[in-house]
Amino acid sequence: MSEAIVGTATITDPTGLHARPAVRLARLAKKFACSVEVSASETGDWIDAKSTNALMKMKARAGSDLFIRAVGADARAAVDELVRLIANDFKAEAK
Amino acid sequence: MSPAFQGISASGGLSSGHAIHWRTAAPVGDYEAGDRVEEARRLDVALGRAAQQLSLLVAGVTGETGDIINFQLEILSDPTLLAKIHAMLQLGTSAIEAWTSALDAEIQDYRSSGDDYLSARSEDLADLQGRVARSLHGIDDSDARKSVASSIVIADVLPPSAFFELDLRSVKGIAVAGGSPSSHAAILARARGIPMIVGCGEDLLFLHDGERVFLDADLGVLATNLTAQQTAEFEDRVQKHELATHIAQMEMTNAASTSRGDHVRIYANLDDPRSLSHTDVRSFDGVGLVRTEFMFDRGAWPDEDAQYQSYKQVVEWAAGRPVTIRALDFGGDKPIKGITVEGEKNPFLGLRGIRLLRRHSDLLRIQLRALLRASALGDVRVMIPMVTVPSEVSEYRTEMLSQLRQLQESGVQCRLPQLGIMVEVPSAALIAGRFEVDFYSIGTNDLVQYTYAAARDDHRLTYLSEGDLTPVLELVRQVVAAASQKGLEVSVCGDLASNPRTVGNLLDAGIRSLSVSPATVAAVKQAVRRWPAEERRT
Repeated sequence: MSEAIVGTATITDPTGLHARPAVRLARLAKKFACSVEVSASETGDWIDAKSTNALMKMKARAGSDLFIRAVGADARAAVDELVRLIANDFKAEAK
Repeated sequence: MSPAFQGISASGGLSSGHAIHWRTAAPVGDYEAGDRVEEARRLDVALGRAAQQLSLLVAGVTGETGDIINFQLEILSDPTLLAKIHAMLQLGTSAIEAWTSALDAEIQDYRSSGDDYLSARSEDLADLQGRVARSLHGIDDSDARKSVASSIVIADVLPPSAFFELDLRSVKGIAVAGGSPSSHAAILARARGIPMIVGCGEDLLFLHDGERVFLDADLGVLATNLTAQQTAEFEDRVQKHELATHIAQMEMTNAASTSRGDHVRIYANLDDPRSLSHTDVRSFDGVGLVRTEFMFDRGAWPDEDAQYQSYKQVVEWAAGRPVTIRALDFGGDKPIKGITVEGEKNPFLGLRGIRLLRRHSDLLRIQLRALLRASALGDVRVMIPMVTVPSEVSEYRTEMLSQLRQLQESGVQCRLPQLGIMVEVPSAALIAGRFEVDFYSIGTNDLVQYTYAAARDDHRLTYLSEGDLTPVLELVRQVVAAASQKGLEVSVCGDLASNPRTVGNLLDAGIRSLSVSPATVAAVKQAVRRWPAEERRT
């Protein structure tokens, strides 16, 4: 098994990981072929980042960190883009 | 009234019409399951159809409701959830059973999460559950969109997606068995002026389609089986109510004078300049409160220029009328990361408003510079929130003057605005005359909560502040007296000013300037015009 790529970002949205951020995060994760998981702590309870439902149930609050890990061909790009999305307060980047 | 359902008012108004049930739940009835392959196919078709319906709905919807519909769309293709459902199909479970039970489990999870936001989302999941289940049963939702003309919609719950499927032009009212006044549907009903009550109880669902019902959404009551005389009386009230609303709308842009002829200035409370496009400036004598915290809701903090642009928008909208901008009011119920203190034992008695701002001189200075520049564009007034002692004002004024000098030295267009305070702490009301200010604005929401020592959001304590307003009105009188001695304006910008039922109390206390939320301006002006009542009980 190839090694996991990891990353961390802090949620700044005052309401935390509510519907809009969760949907945006899952939609972005789904663009990648690799597996992407997130967790509220470095050690535990990894959930599928492509599952909006699972993201919502994390109840992640404003100011809390999200840990990300991805395994697969495009794992590096996936982690980078997810970190950027979270750091950018879940706003899609203007391109 | 005879058999009546007592609920909670979610959107005021009166109307009568025929009851019509709006079913969002899954249909009960026989479902003939096929083999595993067939059931997987049916599920795919049903999920696809639901996705198509929701995509159509979401196209016309923005904001939080749009977020919810997008959330429902995502659930339809949620990998973890679908894997669970497909595993059940593999075991020979029917599509309807697998879908329903998987969603039941999620709904239960959300409900018992102990998180208000997540609990509220359980209704959105139930809505989605019903949508897909109806499709699996071969029910076409577009057929279900029966005519609701002149009807009062009866529902178990009313999720946002259903709200948008109703033909709103013809709905006369809404009564919901469950729900809450803070649900999305309730917010939408208020915005569209549709009378709505919630929390009527499950018995409501036993009403027959077509039964004549009478909705008094001001009192939160839905009545049935009225006698001929009661019906006539109700219809008379409905007509008077419609007429009054109509007149209020017609007179909305007229100035408000009391029945004695005193002019009362009506200002607007504003948040986000984006809301300006649907607010008619002609209804207002100016802006009594611009909350500036909204600028920080979008991630990156706004710099001086971004703030200036926001203020400029409001000043231009006001077209020469005064614009009162409140300095940043974080803390209390408005936390902001990196600024407010985390884990404060009692945030309402802690660092908030000016108490917090004076400790963040960078934040204070950047805003002051933007305000000084915006003042060059029109009649801008600046007010300081949560002022308790005079030194807080003099400190702020000193910083304001120093920033003014710096801007002038760099040749930047700027002007010194009037400086006032929010009176929301009883101590400030009691010594109002000692503050060196140009105006006063009474924030009744906090003043009420500090006067009665009762949290606003604790429903067990509403009996304290909603019973008798005498103590808080006494403080209002003190401020009015101090202001009139100095010849200064004093306005009220809390909920007491926006509520037509308490406007008279403020006028009694000597207030002649009210700053109100724009949606209430028509009703507030009518309340002013009726004051003082011609036949007063003495």
